[in-house]
Amino acid sequence: MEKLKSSLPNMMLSLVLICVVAAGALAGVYLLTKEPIKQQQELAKQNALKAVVLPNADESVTIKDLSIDTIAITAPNQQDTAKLDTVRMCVVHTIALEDGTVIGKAVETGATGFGGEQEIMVGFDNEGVIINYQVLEQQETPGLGDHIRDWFNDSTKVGSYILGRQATGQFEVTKAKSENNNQVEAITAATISSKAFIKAINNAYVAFQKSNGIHVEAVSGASQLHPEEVSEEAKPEGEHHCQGHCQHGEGHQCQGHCQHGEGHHCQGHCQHGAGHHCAGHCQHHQQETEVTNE
Amino acid sequence: MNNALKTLTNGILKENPTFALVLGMCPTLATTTSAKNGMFMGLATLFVLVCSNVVISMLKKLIPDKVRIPAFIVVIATFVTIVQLLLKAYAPAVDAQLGLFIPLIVVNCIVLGRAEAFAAKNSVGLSALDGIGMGLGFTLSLTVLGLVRELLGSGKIFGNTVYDGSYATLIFVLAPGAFIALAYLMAIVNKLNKK
Amino acid sequence: MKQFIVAPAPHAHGSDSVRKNMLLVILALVPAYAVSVWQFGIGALITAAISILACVGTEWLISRFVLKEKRQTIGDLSAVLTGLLLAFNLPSSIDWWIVLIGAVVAIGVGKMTFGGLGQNPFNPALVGRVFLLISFPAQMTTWPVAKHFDTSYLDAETGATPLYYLKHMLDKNAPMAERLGSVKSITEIEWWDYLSGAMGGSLGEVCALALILGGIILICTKTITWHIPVSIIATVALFAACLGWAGMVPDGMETYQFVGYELLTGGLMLGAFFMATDYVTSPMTAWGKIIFGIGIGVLVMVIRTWGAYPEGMSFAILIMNACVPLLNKIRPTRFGEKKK
Repeated sequence: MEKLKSSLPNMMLSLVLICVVAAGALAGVYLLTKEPIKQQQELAKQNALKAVVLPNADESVTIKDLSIDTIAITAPNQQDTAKLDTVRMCVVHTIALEDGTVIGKAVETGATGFGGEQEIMVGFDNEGVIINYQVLEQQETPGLGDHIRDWFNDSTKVGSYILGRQATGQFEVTKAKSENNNQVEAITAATISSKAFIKAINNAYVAFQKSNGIHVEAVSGASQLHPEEVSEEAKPEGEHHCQGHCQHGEGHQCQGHCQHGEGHHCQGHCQHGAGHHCAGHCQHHQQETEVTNE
Repeated sequence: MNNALKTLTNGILKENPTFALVLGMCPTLATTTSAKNGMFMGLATLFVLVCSNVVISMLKKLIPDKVRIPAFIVVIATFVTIVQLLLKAYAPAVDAQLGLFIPLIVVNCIVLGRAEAFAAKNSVGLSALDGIGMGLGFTLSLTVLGLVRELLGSGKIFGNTVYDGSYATLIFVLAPGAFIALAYLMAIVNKLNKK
Repeated sequence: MKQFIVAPAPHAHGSDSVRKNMLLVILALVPAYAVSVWQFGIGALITAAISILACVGTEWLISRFVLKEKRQTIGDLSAVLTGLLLAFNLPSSIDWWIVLIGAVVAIGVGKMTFGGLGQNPFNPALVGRVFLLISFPAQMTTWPVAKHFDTSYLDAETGATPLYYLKHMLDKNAPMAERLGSVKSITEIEWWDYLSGAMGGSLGEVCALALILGGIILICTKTITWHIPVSIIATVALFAACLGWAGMVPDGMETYQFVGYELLTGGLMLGAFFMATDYVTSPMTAWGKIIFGIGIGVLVMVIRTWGAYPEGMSFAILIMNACVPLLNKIRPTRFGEKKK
């Protein structure tokens, strides 16, 4: 059979036929793989969160993402305080096991590094101790800044190892030996990348605490040259009356971080399950938990 | 039979797509940071090569000359999409590693080149063999290049540490080192081919 | 030599030769090397020794066993010069095996792969240096502190270079307090220290005075022409001055000071007189040389100010090396042709 001549009807027919068959084949494969792909994506999300909150658990343990809060962290612009503060959005995932017990929070955070933006996911347990972290994206120099992936979670690097440390939002980077919990040794020859990384961790902790209703001052992550550059809003005004993460202004008797909407008599953000006489979610003073049930 | 054997082995050394024909350089340089990645990239391309060669060879009488390029591209793109869907469903780790280089197989010069140069003019059987041969040659060259780069650049082979990574010559897992390693391998293969 | 040109007498004998020129350049580098040994001690001796031996050895091996040449080329001293220049571009306290790799790459990849002396498009010492910079970034950016007659080698005390502070000072994203701290670190060092090399940096790049002296020797002996060094230095000075006038330099440093620092730190003097002027990889025509120099000057300042690395000289020279065939087309003169 001779090859088809290149006449318009022939060309159109040929192409249409090929496209129809191709479309059919693709549709078939798509339907076949739809379910498995969805499952894989779910698994990937699970694994990403598990990696930072339950790194040593085996495959059978599943976790639930109870709630997702997006929290804005404002860092004072360090060049000129009159300019707008730079706002960094952190996403806080509250993680619980299958049975509902909250095991911690995974926070997506980031910072402007040496070569570009760094995106990091860090996991805290309920007390704010760092469990693990993963660098999701970075554009640092290979061999120097890109060590943020494996430097700060390397247990042989004692001064830089941050896993298991109580986060305070006040970590700072030092080139010399680390002397206390707040000092983290920098990556050799990559101080700027290290500072950005630690700043992201600090921001993550501030977001973590904000989502719990507590306000924490953060440090920029730079080494302390001029103490007066620390954020203004951090200075406490004498005696602290816990008002939680309250957005209702003065005169409001804060009952905690309520999510049930208007008309609901807020009993606070209760984590103790049904049947519990909720006494409010306050972490600062024992007495304040005596908010009575109605 | 002789013809068939010749077609099959052609793509492995004499007309190796990477070292002799210098086709498909983009995925070659980008995915050979480790031997495993290189190998999987080669295998994905092999699958697409064979399938598209066979289909195009079957349809060669039905595709008018003037529309052969769009027709070839549609066939190739279909198979590439099928490969990508299958990888996403059953081997997501590979898909994540190779990223956007899987869909880039569509514009890999080897696939379109062999479709036009061989499959459009030869029988189905020979086209299939050519696809296998070229695909194997490509896979082999990518794996070898990946091995060299991984060993020199990170101290590992197929992910297993051979020597301490801090002594590794980092440049080989980066773009400049890819070009350097490719250049020397190309020189060696060309020298072998001359004999 | 495959072509014999037969011409009748009389012939004039020029006493020029590759070997003679190489020797002159090596001699011009001796003052800088002497200062370097004084400032950095044993490290300078060891690094240079390994580099030179490895370069000569690699050329000998490749010449003998791979290219199978009948006559050895190591006698023309070009490998020795490459070895010395490579050492000049490395921190003096760097590990010996890194120097070895650099030397093998400089000669093997940078020179012999292209066919030996005269055929390479890129400066071999810089090829080796940039290869090492990308492959071992941590070791290549750890600089020993200048201490007179230092006897420590691998465990030398390390510190940052003035170039690092210069870059940090210009960084708009850094907090102003840190930028001022960098300004302080730079202005703390006396001008005499900058000229005499009592600062952090590569083995051969620190002593600006000795390098300028060597450069003047080379120009006076007509080994190199003035075009490349002058155009590089002038371009860098102008660029730095413009940066200063544009207000990029924070308070605490005057524009003229900034120009001075940019000129005296880093590989600028070494590059301008010794590396960019390499015969094989620089243009042959006068205007070509000037444009070559301007290009290097601009690239160096761009990389130093906005690029990822604090030092841009090596990259700038290599990039302009690639442009040399194009630059050679500018007003070429045939050998012996009368200038119009």
